[in-house]
Amino acid sequence: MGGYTEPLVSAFAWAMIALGIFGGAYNVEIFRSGLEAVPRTTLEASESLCLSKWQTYRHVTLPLAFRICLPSLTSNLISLAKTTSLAYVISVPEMTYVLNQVWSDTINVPEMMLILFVFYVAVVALLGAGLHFLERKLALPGFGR
Amino acid sequence: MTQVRTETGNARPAQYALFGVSWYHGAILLLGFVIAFAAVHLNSREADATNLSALDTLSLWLPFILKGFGLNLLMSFLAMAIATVLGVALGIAQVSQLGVVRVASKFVTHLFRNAPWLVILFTVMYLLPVEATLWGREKVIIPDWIKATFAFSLPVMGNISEIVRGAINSIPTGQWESAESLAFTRRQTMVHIILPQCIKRSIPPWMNWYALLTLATPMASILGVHEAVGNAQAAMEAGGGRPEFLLPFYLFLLCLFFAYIYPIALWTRKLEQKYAVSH
Repeated sequence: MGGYTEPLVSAFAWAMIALGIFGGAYNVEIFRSGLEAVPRTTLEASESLCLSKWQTYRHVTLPLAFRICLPSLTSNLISLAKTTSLAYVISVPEMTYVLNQVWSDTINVPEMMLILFVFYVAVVALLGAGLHFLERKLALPGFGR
Repeated sequence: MTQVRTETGNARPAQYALFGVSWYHGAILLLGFVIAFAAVHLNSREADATNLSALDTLSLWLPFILKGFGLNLLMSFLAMAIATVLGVALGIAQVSQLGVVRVASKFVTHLFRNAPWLVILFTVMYLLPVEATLWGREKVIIPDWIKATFAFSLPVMGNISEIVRGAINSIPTGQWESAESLAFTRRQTMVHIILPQCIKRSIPPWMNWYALLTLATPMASILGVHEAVGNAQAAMEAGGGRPEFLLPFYLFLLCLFFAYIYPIALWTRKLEQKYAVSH
């Protein structure tokens, strides 16, 4: 219902801003819980090794917190990738919008639906595979499960 | 979902992040709403006396918007009911001993979990017939909102299926073994021992998905269902389609949904703490 005036920011940019805020809000919560999940004993150990507060943060807390966060970040990124289809509403020419135009032109709704499903399943599978690879790469022996 | 937590702990799954909300979010929202209204009100009073102000327009169309919100709630109830029935069945099928059933239910679950809501909405809207023949006689036109309800229930079904599967897997193996030693059949073990324990574990994520489902229902307005957001847009058009209406109207909708979801979020958080599984 917008678009009464000439837009200063393009629909694509607005979609990025809106989805960025939306996904970021979840990420804040994920990072917070990740930082909290770093065991106290580890921090105490680094303190006993005479690491300063900043050094502890830089070399101990952040790397551990990132690894703890990674599964949640993966699921958030995947759900965000799916949410991008909502940019359809503000007529950003993404997959759903483009295919909608195709099936409006030539009446081939079922085929286009199938393409859409396959496309999103492939995107999600690729993202998931990539991030799981990263997770395995970053896994620390003796940490976590 | 209900996994055993190690000493180091896991970060909370992303969907739990919904429950980071607290009372001051509502307060800020309300404040923004009041300020936006005050600004628009002051501006439009000077501009012209013939046009209605944003506040007057909103109060004029309030019953219309609330009626739409009622449809939102109805859609969320029905979709959740469908999703729960189908999802629980699918979740149990995922731990079936028959390989074919397991693979098939896993495929369905992951298909609906990994497809965007909008795509599922489009699929159901376009591929379901416009009218149905009831008892082989009269033809009944299926209303759009019923199709949308069914569409919303599908992704939630997939997620509930995963919740149920996770809950069943989180029951210690000892429970299965002791049931077997008491000569329970697999079916009896499931009905009398495993599933009752799963209910407690699944309720917090189940309510979380209800909240997410309710927040997703405005998507139906894209396809012309007359729910709260669609009605608010229609009201804005009727009020002259002035751009200064956008902010107050959308903030009003935000407040409306917040007021509904917030108590659910609080309640879920309480239940989550109460039912926290410690091993």
